[in-house]
Amino acid sequence: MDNQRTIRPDPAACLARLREISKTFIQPGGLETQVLHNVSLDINEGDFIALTGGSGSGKSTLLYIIGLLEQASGGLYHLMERDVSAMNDDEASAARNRLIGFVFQSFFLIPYASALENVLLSGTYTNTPEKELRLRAEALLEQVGLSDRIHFIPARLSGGQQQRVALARALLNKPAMLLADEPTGQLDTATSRSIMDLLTAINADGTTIVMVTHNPEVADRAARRITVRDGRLHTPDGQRSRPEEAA
Amino acid sequence: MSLRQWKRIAGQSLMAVAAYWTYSLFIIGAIGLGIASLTLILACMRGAEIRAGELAAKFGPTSINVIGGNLVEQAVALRPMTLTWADMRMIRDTLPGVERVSELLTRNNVQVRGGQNRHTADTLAGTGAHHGLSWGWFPALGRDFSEEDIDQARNVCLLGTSTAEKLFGSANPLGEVVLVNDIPLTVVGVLTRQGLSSGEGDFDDRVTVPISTMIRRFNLSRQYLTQLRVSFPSTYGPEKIETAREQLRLLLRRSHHLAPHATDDFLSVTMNDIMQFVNVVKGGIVIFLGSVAAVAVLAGGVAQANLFRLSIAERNMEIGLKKALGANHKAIFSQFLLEALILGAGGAVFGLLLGGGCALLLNSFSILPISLSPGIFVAALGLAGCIAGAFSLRPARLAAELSPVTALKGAA
Repeated sequence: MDNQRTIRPDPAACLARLREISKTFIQPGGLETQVLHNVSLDINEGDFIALTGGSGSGKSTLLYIIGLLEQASGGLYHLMERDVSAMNDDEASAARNRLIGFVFQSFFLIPYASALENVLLSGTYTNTPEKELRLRAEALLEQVGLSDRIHFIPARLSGGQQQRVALARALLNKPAMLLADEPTGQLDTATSRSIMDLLTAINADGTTIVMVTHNPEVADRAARRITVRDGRLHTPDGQRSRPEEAA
Repeated sequence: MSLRQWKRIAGQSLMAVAAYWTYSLFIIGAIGLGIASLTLILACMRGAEIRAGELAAKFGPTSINVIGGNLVEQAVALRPMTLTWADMRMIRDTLPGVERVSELLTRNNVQVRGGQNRHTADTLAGTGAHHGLSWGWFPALGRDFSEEDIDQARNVCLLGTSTAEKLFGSANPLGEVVLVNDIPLTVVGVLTRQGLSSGEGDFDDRVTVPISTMIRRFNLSRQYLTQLRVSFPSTYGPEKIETAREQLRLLLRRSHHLAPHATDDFLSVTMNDIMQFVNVVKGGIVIFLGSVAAVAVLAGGVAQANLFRLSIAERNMEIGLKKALGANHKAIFSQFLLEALILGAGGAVFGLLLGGGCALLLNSFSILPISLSPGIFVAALGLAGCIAGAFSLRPARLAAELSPVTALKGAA
């Protein structure tokens, strides 16, 4: 609860500020692989950022660092003016729960739970009353066009419908920032467009979105496009990105 | 975590247990089999304890049985009869505090015919009047021996329940005539069932006749007795009985002219001896069966730990996702531990039902006395909880410590 107070978003400030972030993975044989090199990025409220780049460029790793699922090896990361490196597991978990929503390429829905139960999963770790959570979940499922399928398990939903459930789940706790990792990666073109329409609408409602995609058409829907190449950020003109430029 | 969060996590644990029902069934089975074996063993031990108490009560806390011959140093067939009628009279007349001295003369394996059936009874026993009072073994049907039966050496008998059933089935044998080694005896009573057996056979497979009839009709020794039972007032405590036993021993040794270093040519047995023997045997059985139960329970625990770990490995996506949604270490650990406890409780219920069922089955065959008590249920439930908790701690901790990215990448 205290964490929520200390990291409450300030509309005037940027949501996330990354400075000189690097990430190195140590392989089983002791071999070190640096996937991010001194990455700096400001994510402001209302941004819709597309991180593009080839496979292994480091874009997903950056997204996971922004989402507190991965820790940076070096550099500074402030989320809501709070130094992420000083957060313990409880604080990082609370921040993920209340400030960040995730959407993944593989949807990651619990196979034995209904669409409604999957959406409600986000509310497990909050103190929001059940009734309020349920009303919110039903409203979100209606918003994504699944009000008639709230009791369907994932196996009875199409890929697009499953991603809509995942979107509703990501929005249940009214996150300040939605992180989407290849949200249309497993969808056909028409379904991708409908998901992107939804993301655009969500962004228009004030939710900041950072999306990883390798699809230029999908990336074009974002207001800012940043390319990740060899662990470094580049703006569309091919120049190395500086935070002030990116902002 | 707040109570509300705990309730939600518990709900998710229940959902997961139901969703992964094949794993759940195997885990419940593994724990249940251990608990069933433990339940059965505890029930048997409790039953044996109750039976030992009954046996001791039947024996009588204020009686000493004296058996002729040196039971420790001489084989059964080589044991000479050493107790005499003179010993009996001497004990009755000189031993302080004696209330009653009862005599017993026995012969093994006698042919009995009756109710158109033929049977070899384990024991033919000759006793004095008032068999019930003397030996704490009363007729369930009919009457006891009277003084007249003894004085007149009447051809009457009391049948043990096994003998009565073998000869007459479910029919009432009272008033029927049985031939024991071709000597006709009228059945005047059927003794209560003892449900005991010894090296000499089934206690209930016997024909008991007046001792005078035994001596005259069956041509047995007029001088020697097989056994004596010396009874003292019910106010006698264990210490007083021990004192009386020592006095009795010295009396018999003098009567039998035994040299100072010679071993006794008789054996005295009290209820205390029986209880001590039972406790020694019980202690051995407890260690043996307890080890068997412990192995069964441990095997169940190890199987549970492995199955639980497999189940967790299959649920990497769920773990990674929940972490991404805000679950901390404690929330993931709690969920998996709760699942383990739910499965443990399921295993306890299954084990108790299985163990209880087996116990009832054994009871119905009269193989073993079984006693199920609420304590056994509480013990089994507690143990199942401990097994489930202990063997799930590591898998649950591994789940909690799993990196969310690793978990999600593994699942993708």
